[in-house]
Amino acid sequence: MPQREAKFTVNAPPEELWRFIRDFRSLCTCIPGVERINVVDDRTAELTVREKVGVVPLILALRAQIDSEEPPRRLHATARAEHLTMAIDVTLRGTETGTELLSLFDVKGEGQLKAIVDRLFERRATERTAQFADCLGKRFGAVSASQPPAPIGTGRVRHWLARVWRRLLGS
Amino acid sequence: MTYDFIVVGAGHNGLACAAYLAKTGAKVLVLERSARVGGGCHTAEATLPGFKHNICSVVHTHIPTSPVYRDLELERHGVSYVYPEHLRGTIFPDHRSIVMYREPDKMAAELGKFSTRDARTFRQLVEDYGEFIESTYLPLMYSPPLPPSLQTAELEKSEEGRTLLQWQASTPVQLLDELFESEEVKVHFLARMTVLGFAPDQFGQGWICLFRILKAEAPICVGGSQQLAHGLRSAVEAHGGIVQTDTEVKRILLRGNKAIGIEMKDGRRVEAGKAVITNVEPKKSFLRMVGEEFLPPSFAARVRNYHSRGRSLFVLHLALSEPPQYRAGAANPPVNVAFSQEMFGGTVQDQVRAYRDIAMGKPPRKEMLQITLPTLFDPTQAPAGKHTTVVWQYAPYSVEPGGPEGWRKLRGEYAAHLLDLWRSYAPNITRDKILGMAIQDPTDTERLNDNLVNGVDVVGDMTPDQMGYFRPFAGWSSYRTPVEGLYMCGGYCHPGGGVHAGAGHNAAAVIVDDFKLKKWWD
Repeated sequence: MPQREAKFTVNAPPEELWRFIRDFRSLCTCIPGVERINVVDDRTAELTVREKVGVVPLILALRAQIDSEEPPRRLHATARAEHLTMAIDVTLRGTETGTELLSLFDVKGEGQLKAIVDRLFERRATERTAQFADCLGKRFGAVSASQPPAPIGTGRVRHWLARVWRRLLGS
Repeated sequence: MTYDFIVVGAGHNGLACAAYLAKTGAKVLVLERSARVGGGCHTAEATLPGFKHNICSVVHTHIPTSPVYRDLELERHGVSYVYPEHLRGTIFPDHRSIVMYREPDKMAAELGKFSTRDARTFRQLVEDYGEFIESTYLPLMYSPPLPPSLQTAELEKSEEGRTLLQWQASTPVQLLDELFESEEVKVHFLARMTVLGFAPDQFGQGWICLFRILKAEAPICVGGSQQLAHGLRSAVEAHGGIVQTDTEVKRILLRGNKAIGIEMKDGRRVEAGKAVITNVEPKKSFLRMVGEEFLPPSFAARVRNYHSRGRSLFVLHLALSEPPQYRAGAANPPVNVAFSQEMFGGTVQDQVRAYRDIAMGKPPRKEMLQITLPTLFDPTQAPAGKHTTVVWQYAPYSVEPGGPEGWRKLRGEYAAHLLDLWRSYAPNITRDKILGMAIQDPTDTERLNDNLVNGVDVVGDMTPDQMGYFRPFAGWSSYRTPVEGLYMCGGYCHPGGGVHAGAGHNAAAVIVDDFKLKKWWD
């Protein structure tokens, strides 16, 4: 199950960044490969994403849904397509210079294309996350990646999720 | 005595499957009829003491990068590979040559000696399809095959995908004619495309052939191919599995429609609490060990129709006092130190005609030769300063008019003819340089490993009707069988013959899923 964690510092207050990521249409302007978006309701959108593998495009029809949110700090969303499920966790933290955005993508290929989806995400995730950061940089001005997006082991994910849950549950 | 799983046949796929299952904590028994494990991973002193010859597989293209190598920690079990810098050299009758390189720029430069346009085309293919092949080929090998409908559905969404579908339907020759202009470039790639026995003018091989144009590798197992089998056996045993050689399984025992164990030739029986997994080719597994009367008629018909009619190999194992020096090496020195030298004539039609001759039972008189010297890269396979060589010539199993037995009369003369052909390219290989020779005609190949029916070294033809979703049979490519608790894991399953352990890996995943065992890998 490929995973990626990315952390950026954005030159904008948490509320402004939250408005951006909470609006499907604006958010999708920064997601590479989105060709079409249909906003179903405030928490649901249908996206067509084209990911090219060489010249051969893999065209995904995704349905993205916000499962839970805690404005302007945390958001958990799930995007599903025929051959994959992607869990997305976003945490915003105000800093002296703006907002730190921590995102965790957890992609699970499913069914008969699982092996291909997993391999493709492994190959592309770092590049796509960097493009997302670059787009945010253009949008909000100064942005610095605190650390390069990198694959993360299940142990780190587990600990990070445990920390998030502890915070959410106030324990 | 009861085991959870009994694997019939200790070829590399059977051993890989057993190792995955053993590591779940299951009790696993592997039974092998012959005195050694490994099937096609077979290294023996076929000529002289100290000269280790690879009797069947010579190169394990996918193993070192496979999940099997990583998951089973085969390096820890004594398996390691060396990588020749220069992969393959195609030598033409006029002694010009093309050496195959991993690096696209070097490869393009080599092709550019024959056609600037073809060099450009190659670079463009790498750019357009390199990542696609990289992203799909290995994952597709190490997972159950996709139904054609799914593959088509994904590819038909785009123009580029539709081009691949069109190529899919074409023949290797058609694809090469579409892509390249130089006859030599086409001859070079055609030899790569047909390496698993595809006929050059056979429809339906299309874009899979792109893999053989764009990817090249030649990892050689240190110590010989057999060493992989030893490593796999060690992995099975390290997790408590038992591997028993010299034990022939006569029958797979059923209770109703469930496999419950096996009976050996000597009458002893062993129970399988969960499943029996057969690595033995389909006709022997199902018609002989299970019994046709216990199979659904439609399945039995598919088994009966499973075919091994393609080309075989006429093989010479040679002990040499020195390596061959090719005339082609004068202009292109890396030819002499490439993993293999391939001499397939000067035109595409030479290869087409050779395949037609083979289909008619005529051993080609022209060279369809592949020569490999593993000892250039792994000197442990021969005494110091000496070499082993394997000479492969494409050939029919059955020769006209004598049938398979016809080889008895023909083999000596044919071996001498092939040596003459080879010597016309490598004149230093005079008789005195050949310290020993063992002839292995296609009937010997089958005798040495009767999974290779009719001497077809990929355990059944890898033709479009027996590949992917259709291997071994449409609807039964998931490693399951109509008999509950009986699974398949041999090279007759997807992804087919060759040493990559894909079928063993994939079968283990299906079995672990069916029995809700802990899938400790992935």
